[in-house]
Order: sequence, then C-alpha cells, then structure tokens
Amino acid sequence: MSRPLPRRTVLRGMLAGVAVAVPLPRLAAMLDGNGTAWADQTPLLPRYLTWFFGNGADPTQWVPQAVGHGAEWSLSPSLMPLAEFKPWLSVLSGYEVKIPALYAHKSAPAAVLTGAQAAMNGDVTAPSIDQKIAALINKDTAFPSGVHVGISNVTGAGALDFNISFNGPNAPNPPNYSPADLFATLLTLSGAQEPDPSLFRRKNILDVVAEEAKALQHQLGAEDRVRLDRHLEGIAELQTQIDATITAADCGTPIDPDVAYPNRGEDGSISLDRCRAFADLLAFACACELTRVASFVFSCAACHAPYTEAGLGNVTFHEDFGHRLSPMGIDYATGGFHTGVAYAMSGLAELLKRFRDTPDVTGNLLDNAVIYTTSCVGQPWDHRMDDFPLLVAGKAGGLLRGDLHHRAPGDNASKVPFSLLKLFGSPETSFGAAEGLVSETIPELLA
Amino acid sequence: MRRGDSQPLGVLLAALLGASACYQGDSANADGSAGTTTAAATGDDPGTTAPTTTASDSDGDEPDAPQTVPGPTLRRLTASEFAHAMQDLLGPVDLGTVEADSLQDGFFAVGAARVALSPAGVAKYEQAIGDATAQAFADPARVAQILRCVPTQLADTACMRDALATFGRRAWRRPLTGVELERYLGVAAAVGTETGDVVVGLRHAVWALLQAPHFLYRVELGLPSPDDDGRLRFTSYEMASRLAFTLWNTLPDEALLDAAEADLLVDGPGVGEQAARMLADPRARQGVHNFIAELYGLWALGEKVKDDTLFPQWTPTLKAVMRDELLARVEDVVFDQPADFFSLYDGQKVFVNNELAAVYGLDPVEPDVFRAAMLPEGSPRRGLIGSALVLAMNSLPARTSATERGQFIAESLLCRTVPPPPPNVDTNLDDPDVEDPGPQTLREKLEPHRADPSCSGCHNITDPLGLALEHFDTIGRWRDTDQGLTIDASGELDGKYFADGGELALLLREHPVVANCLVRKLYTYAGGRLPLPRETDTIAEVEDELALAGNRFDKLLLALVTHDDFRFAHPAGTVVGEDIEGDKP
Repeated sequence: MSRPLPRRTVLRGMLAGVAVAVPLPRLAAMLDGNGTAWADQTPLLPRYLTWFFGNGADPTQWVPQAVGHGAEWSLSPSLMPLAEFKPWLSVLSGYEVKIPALYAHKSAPAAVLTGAQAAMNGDVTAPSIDQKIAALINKDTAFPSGVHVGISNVTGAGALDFNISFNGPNAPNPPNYSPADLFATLLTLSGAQEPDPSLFRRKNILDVVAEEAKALQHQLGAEDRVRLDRHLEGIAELQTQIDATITAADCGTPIDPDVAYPNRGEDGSISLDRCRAFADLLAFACACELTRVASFVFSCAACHAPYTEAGLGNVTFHEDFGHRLSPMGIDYATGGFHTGVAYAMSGLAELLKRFRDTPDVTGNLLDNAVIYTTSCVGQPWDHRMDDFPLLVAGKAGGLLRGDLHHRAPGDNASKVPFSLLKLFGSPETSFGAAEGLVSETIPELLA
Repeated sequence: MRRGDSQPLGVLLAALLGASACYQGDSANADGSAGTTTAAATGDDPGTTAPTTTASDSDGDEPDAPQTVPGPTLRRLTASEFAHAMQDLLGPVDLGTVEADSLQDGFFAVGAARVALSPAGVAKYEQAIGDATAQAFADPARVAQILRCVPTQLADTACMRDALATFGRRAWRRPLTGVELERYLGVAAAVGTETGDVVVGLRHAVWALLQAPHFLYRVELGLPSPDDDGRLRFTSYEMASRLAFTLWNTLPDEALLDAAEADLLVDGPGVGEQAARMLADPRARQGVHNFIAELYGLWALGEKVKDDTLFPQWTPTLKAVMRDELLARVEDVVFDQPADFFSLYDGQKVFVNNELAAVYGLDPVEPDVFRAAMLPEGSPRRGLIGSALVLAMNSLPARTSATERGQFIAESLLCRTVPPPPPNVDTNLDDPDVEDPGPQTLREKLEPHRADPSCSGCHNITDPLGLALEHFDTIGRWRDTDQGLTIDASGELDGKYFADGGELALLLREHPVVANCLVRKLYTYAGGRLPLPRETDTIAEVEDELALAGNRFDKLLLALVTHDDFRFAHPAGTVVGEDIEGDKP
C-alpha cells in the first residue's frame, strides 16, 4: 500500500518499466501570485519541531528583564547564544505547569508536551503536541509520524524515558541518535542516487508482513490490536518511504555528517557537532518536505549525561549542577548550571542557524517554522514548575509575531502548545486534561 | 538511570505524599503499587466477555472485591531475546540497532508487553533483519546450516517447501499453516525468478518470516480449555516458547519443538521434564544472566560516569569486569555449586582480575586472569551489597549516595516501594544558614533532613540501609574515614541492629521478605506484568517450593514454569474474586 506523495509531485517518468512520479522542491514559481499559497490555492504549511532539553533553567537567568516587542526587550544571559535569532524568538515567561507535581521530571514535561499528567511509570496519558500537529499536516509526507532525533542517549532517572514524542500512551516515538543513519535514509529519498530495483522486493515483502499482521489482529485483545495497528502504520510508513525513494525528489544531497563532522563523538554523546549534524539533516528534510514535523531531544527529562564539552567535567549535569550537588560547592554548581543551560541553547542555535540559512519559498525555513522549546522542570534544584522555560522560535510563515517577550505570571503553561496547535488549523477547542486543560490561546504571540 | 526516579539526593529529601504515604512496614506491598496505572486489564472490554465466576464467598467472611483479570498479551521480543533468536537462526551476525526496550515496573520484560513499536522501529527491524540475512546468506556453507534443504533450482519446490517449513517452525515457534507456507514460498519463487537465484529468493522469504509479528512478538494467547473452568490453556507450542524465553532468553530448540509437536507440554509433568533438561543446558546461564541483568539494572552501568579527576580508576575495563563478576557470582551459586541463592546476599567469594582485585584490596596475581577469590576472614565486605558493581552503580559521580544504595536494597532485595521525590524541596545538602560547617560525614549532612517530617517518611526507608555502606567509596573501595572523619556505619533493619555493611548483609540473607521478593520479581519478569493481588497465593506456593529446595534458584525456576499460573491464563476481562472455587485449580 502507499500513501499520496507530496503535492510537489509534478514530473513523471519510467523506472524498471513502472511509471513513477518525480517530486520537485518547493519553488516560488509554483506559488500563487501573492506567494502565500500553492498555485492550486492550497495553503503553504509551516514546519513544526519540538526542541527539548532536560533539567530546566534558572528563571533568574532565563527570563529577560523587560517585556515587549523588538527593541523593548533584550535577551537574558541563558538566551544569549540565540542573540542573532532574536527577531524569530518568542519568549513566554511566568507560565506555570498546573498539573499536580506528582512525579518530579515527569509531571511537568508531560504537561508541557501533552497538556496532561504523566503516568506513574513514566509514560504519558495523551498524545504529544508534535503528533497532534503531524496528524494535521504531515500525513502526505515520507515520514507521516515525523522525524525524531536525539543528542544524548543517557537516561533520566525514570522520567519520560528517552522520549518527548508520543502518539498516545504506550506509543512513543523514540529518538534516532545516529546522524549517519538518518543521512543514509534521507540520501535514498533525496533523488541524489539511482533507485535500487530491490526496493520493489522490499515493498512486496512488507505487503506480506502486513497481511500476516492483519490476520493476527482478529485473535487479539483491544490493547494488543492497538499495538499491532501501530506496527501496521509503521509498515505503511516504510512503504511510503520506499515509494518516495522510487520517485525521489531532486532536492540535492544532504550533508554527510561523516564528512562534515568526523569528530562529532559517538552516537548518544553530547557535542555541538552532533547538534550541527542533525540540524543539517532536519533542515534538509524539512526544506524538501520529506517531513513537516520533527522532534529534537538535546537531553531527555532529568538526563544524567555529562556536559563535558561545556567544561563541566565528566559528572552528571543533573546531579552536580541541576541539583547543585557538586563537591566543589554550591556557587560552583550554580554557575555550572547556568553554563550548561547556555550550552544547551548553543545546541538550539545550531538548528536555528541551519533553518535561517535554508531558503524556503519566498523566505527561509526559520520564517516558515515553529520550533517549540521547553524542558522537564522550571528551576531544577527544587523541582519548581512555575516560571517554566517556554520558548518559540520561528515565524510560522508570518503567523507569529516574533521578537517578543510576553510575561503572564501564573497563567497555564498548556496555553503555549495549544496556541501552536491552533496555528496549524486544528479545529480542537481545547487542549490538555484536568488542571492542564485550556481553551484559550495567547493572542500576543500572533502577528 | 530509569529504575524508579532514583536521582540520588533528589530522592534524599523526598516525601511525595508526606510521611504517611511511604511504606515503612514489613508486609511490603512489594512493587505491586508501582504499576497500578498500567496493570489494569489489557484485553477486551470486560462487558463483552462473560465472567468465569461471580464474586461470592461461602464462608461468610467479607467478600473480596471482584478483580478484572488481564488476558494474555503480545510481548515484543526484548532486544536481548531478539539478538539471541537471530543468532540461533542465522549464526553469528552483526546486528544493527533495533528500537530500544522500554523499562516499566523495573523490567524490560514488562515494557515489552505494553509499549507499541514506533514507525521508525519498524524500519529499524527491516534494515537490521535485511542486513543480517544478507550477511548469513552470503556464505553457502552457512546457508546449508540455516536451511535444512538448499535447492539448486526453482523447480525444486519440495526442497524449498522443506527449507521454509522447518525454518519457519523454528522462527515462529510453531509450524506454519498451509496458507502461511504458500505465502512465503510465493516470496521465494518471485524473487528467485526475478534474480535467477533460488537462494536469493529463499533469503527474501526468510527476511519476510523474520519481520512477521509471529517472530517479533511472543504470540502466546492460549486456547479455551473446557476442562479447566473456562481458563485459557497455553498450547504446547506456546509453552515451548514460554519455557525457552523464560529459561534461555531465546527460541526453543528442536527437541522442545518436537515435544510440543507431540503435545507433551500441556501438563505439569511434561513441562517439568523439558524444563529440567533445559536447566541443564548451557543456555540456562544465558537465561539467568538476562534475569539478573534486568533485576539489578545492569544496563545502566554503561552510562554510569564518575568524576575522572577523583576516580581515574573508573575505566571501561573496570566496569566490564564488575559486570562479569556479578554474573559470575550468580552462576557460581545457581549452577556451579549450586547453593542457596541467598548466599549471594552475604557471601564472601568474589571473582576478580587484577583491576578489580585492587578495588577489593586483594593482591594481584601473574598472569592476570579472571579468577575466584575469597575475601579475608573478618572482612566487613559481604554479599551483593558489598560488590563493586552494586556500590558503584548506586553512587554519585563524585561521592557515595546512601539514598541510592538504600533504595537498591529496599526495592531490589526487599520489594519495598520508595516513592519519587516531591517538588519544591531543595535537594542541596549544604545548610545555607551556616557559612562554613567544616567537613561533615554524609550521615551528619543527612541528619537534619531526616529529622524533617516531610522528608523522613521515605528517607527512613532508604538512608539507614545505605549509610551502612559508607565505608565503601563511590567505586566500591574500602575507606576508613569520610573526609577524615570517623564513619558510623551502624543502623537497624526492622528492629535488628547492625554495626556495619557486613552485618547488614547477614541480616538481609535471613530477612523473612527476601524470598517472597525474589519470587515476585521473577514472576513479574516471566509474566511480563506485575503479579495481581489474587496471585499472592501463587507467589506463596512458589516461595514454599523454593524453601523446600534449599533456596536453589534452578528449583525456583522449575517451580515457576510448572505452576498452573504459568500454564494458564484467563480470558481478557474475566472478573474473579480471590479464593473462589474454580478460579484456581
């Protein structure tokens, strides 16, 4: 089975005797006269990413001093690595996670990602914002459930395991930690290589596997049927990618991380080169509309990895700095924590740079993106959930105002993901559950 | 780490729901409470399934509340099961990564029964299996080992049929139906015709067979058994699968499948005969390794960092030998002696190379080999809690953690629940009101916080146990003092005094809860879910068998896999009460 290819499918050709469609990249010439929609009047779709860093931020360093727009506000110390992207930033401060803090490093990230409480075992109870948006805008791409990458593969004391993207309870989208692996996948989809005739065999095999799975469905209980349905979705998604490979777009060639960043460190280790490698690949995938939705885990909730490259030694950032337990004393620990948060923002800056430098239709990819950045806790040493780190980068194709610090002390943090969901045209009138439930957006965000 | 929310000093000051919410008694609720959010029925809506029984109690006591019992569920092969199965089928192959296991209720085995594979995970399987089959089929000699018959031409359909039928039976742990066999023969014929190579065709059929849910998931669903009160009885083939994954952490062998084919695995004696054979097989060590690795969270060792300026001894080779040592201790007690499993808890036999010997204060030998050794008589280092691995795994990068070490003892050995830390509690141990308190032992640092009623409830579970190990530093070496100060390692376990970690180890071995806890952990691992309250009797029966067998772990495995609750399941949504006639045999 196959899914429809992206709408930029315009050329047709023959491969191994089979008619194929050859998609092209987004070109201004394919737009309507105003450059705001495709020629057939379908709207341009912004891209959505969740960017997550573990262990929170210190509000005294994170929150900019002044509120307002443009010259009215300046970046805070933690956000200084993002200085050159200030026109695209919307800092939302004062917001509070209203979900009861039952589980440190679990309740809060679950709330800002799904609007609902975490399950005790570290699972979520509702789908995450990226998956809700994927359902709206990504079904016709090669990765309907999005592309999900991660820098650190060190766990975080239970928390939400490695994951920030959830199709629902017990249905995570674990991150891919290997830029080389993602490069290889994107290369086959880029049109830079001749399609391999064996692709048809793989597709046929997947048909057989799907047939087998469907036959098994009848014997299963309700929850297992849901699990196997998800497996079947995965089979269909893989077949979509094979179709897209056969009919690959001419998007150029993605940057090979082994050539560009040979010293980036092992898969799962933290380095800015690894951030750069994934930034290159995500910018490529989004520009080529191989996906419009992605997630990027710099470090998972309560991540126990060291920030060695930031000069913070080979100790766990979570404990020595997040909880300020360094034997070097509390002042060193506090300073190190601030260094670490700025380091994480340097990782985000690499993504914003690639997006800003990638042309997209009439502007650049950052103009047409929404990058929702958040964490697992407010200030980590006491697991606070007020004044939560919430940052949106990008202008969503002109829908977002940008260059904004909006402060709303005590307001519900769920309003941020709900506002983003509405940007993508969701008909839903509310978001979240229980104390996390909201039905209002943040109008100040909009242009 | 993912074992609970065990960030060390975050837990330290934690009292999630106040002191009263924390377990402090002896009748541990074990790990049962930890999974209540997801341990509910996993099958169809109860309303659609006729209850097996109705709740009533004829002896006049207060009737137990009816419980909805989960039905059997699919379990995705864990990464370890997958790797072993692939090696069994294809021989040594380099396996690409597959989607990571999910840890739930302390076990990957539980996550495997709950969590769905992501779309990216499906692609990873396709690639890993494709690459592995390509490697294996590149060597004609290897192909002859993988397939019982290797055809030379496409017309040799009998040989192709035999090859796929026998391979399929092994991979799927049951014979393929006629329709299924035709499906895979179709793949082999189509690709064989296209490529002109029948073996390439068979390789693609094998690739397909190994992507099928019947390989990637444990499909053990049972069949209604009218003679057994409507319960579901696992078929002989399903029992072969259950036995093999539980005892060997891999697929059944041909002998086990032959026993299944002869339908010999539908009663306790038949299962017992095969299980006894399997426990004598070297693969049983692989099975016990995997249980121990999950039980003690050995997967986390790889990501455990130590401050390399303070502990340059913390090398990859030291970590590896620590892991090897723990498994060697278990093998020694379970297989080589074999002896009382709980001798692990207080024993002084260790296994070292020279690098680990230095941690234990033992002399090096030449040539340097991995060897058994005895700790000196009178050594306060005893048992699991004195092993370098347990001490180092449950410590911070730069200092020890009484809370983490205590949590290991409380959760892993005593099945006590330590709730996660609450919010809004500063986890820093330094007293901000005191400018320079001077050096303090960890006990001294902890005392004020343990006096805080909002913290003491939970920390009284962990800290007194962990402080017993303060004579061992963050990588497990003996130390006389902490920052030059005298260490007080004494404490109490359930009213019994101990002077140090060695005495605590002795108390743990004799503790009345450890056997029940071990059985509960094994039951959770083998069943892929936490025991239900109604299975308390089962746990107790298996525990009795363990005691009768002198606490031999191999006998425990035998008792578990021959128990009715391992051979039967209830239809999803069945409502049962405890002690109801017909509910259990």
